[in-house]
Amino acid sequence: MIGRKALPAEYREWNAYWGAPYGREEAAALEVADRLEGFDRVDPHAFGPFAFQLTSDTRVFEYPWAYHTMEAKPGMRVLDVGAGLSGLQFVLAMEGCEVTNVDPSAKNGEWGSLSAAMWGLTPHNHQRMNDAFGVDVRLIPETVQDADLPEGTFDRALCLSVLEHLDQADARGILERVAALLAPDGLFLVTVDLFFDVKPFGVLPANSYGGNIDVHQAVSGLGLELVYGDPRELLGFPEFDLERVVELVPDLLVSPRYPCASQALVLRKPAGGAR
Amino acid sequence: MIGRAPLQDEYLEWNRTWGAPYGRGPSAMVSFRRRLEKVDPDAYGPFAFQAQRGLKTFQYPWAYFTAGVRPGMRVMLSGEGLGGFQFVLAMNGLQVVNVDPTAAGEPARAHARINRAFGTDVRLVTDLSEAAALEQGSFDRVFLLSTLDHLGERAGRAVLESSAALLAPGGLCLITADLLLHLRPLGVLPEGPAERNVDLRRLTDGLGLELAHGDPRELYGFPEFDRGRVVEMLPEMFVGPFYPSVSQTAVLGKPG
Repeated sequence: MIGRKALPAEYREWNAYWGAPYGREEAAALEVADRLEGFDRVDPHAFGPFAFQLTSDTRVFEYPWAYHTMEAKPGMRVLDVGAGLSGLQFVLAMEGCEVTNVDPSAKNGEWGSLSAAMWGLTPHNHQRMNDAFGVDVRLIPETVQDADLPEGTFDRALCLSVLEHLDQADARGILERVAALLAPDGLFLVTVDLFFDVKPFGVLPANSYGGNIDVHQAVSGLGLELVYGDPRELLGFPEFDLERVVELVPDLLVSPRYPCASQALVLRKPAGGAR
Repeated sequence: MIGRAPLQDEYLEWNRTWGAPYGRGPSAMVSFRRRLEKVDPDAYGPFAFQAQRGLKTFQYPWAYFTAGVRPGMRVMLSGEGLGGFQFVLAMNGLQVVNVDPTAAGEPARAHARINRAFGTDVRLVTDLSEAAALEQGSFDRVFLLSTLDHLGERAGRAVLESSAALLAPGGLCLITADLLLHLRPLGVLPEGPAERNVDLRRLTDGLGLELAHGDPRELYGFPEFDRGRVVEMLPEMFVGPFYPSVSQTAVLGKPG
């Protein structure tokens, strides 16, 4: 499916409760860079766990969708790929999950054109978030392909708005590795931005944020089952229906700051392991 | 015409000199709030006080060099907010009026602080009745830089009619209008949340102004506009790094 503008009530309530995705009202007077710089002088709880990272507007849908769809339970092992300083990892940890965030941008504190001051993901900042919220999310500053993690051990994996920033081969590489890390019967929740300025919707081959990856190619043959997601709304699937998506645009959550929407899908590893 | 990449050397040099369009290097590590609390003209430069989508990298130097401004000229900008271009013109000895109804309140107080810091005297007009009282036929240049694409057709036409009336005989109206690549006729979406691809022919027709600069094949709405050619030439065009758009440019002259 593609995220809709009209969010279910439980999504709206969840966003309101956690201050997702921009941080709570108390944080609004400060820009993200100032919140991080003044971390020791502000009240992180008043600001909420989502206040410390610049975020795409499609996260209004993505975070509550991921939370409610993944059905995390205390004690579950959760892998969050490319989570930066986003609040969801800390929320899941506060609810008793054992969370690992694998993000190579933590090596240099930079992401794309965003400077360290704006992006903010450094091991130091991440630890400050852990300390502030009383949790112990593990940060691995590597690609998930390079991270030394035990295979078949994660009950849930998340990869939210990451793949569109990569080329098709890198995206596939991440998915293959996560498929191996997932435990039998584990769920892998993925969102992928769909850019309206990039082909097949627009005239550009790619934009400065990335491109429209072929979701079907990326997820096929991994030994995972598509258990959630409408193939008519997932680019690359034979059922993908461009005209239908265009017709649906008024109902879709399109970011006001960049013309994109959010494709969402869930892959499940069969209980007997990958086939 | 539509702005091309790479930028000409004189445009790059102008941007370097003024720290356009994002502000000088040191400002990158400081939030807008802090930049505005304590305006540091040397460290930040005049362009550090308003967020930009990126096309201004081309538009500001294009406007500066195309306008042929000279000290003493009277110029008006529409919807320039806290943008640095107005202060650069003032530092170059021009009399500058910025008409921006959206800049009332705190932005106006910030505008005053920037004026003081740079030793300029840009007049900010936020009140529409005050704008209506500006002397007609008195401005040598009018700048509408990425203003029209944020207005509806009626409001855009009103701004242009008012600009035409304010221009002195022989004066020039410099226009940039973002051409958004995700919106029709280039993309599939009809319009964005706060912008649209405006019909430039309809907006500028019958104002008593002449098209002095601009390639109608690259101005949406003109009968000569050639979508296929624009798409083909995209690799040569300056595409906004933070929003999918290119910059149409036109200069309208008021007969002397």
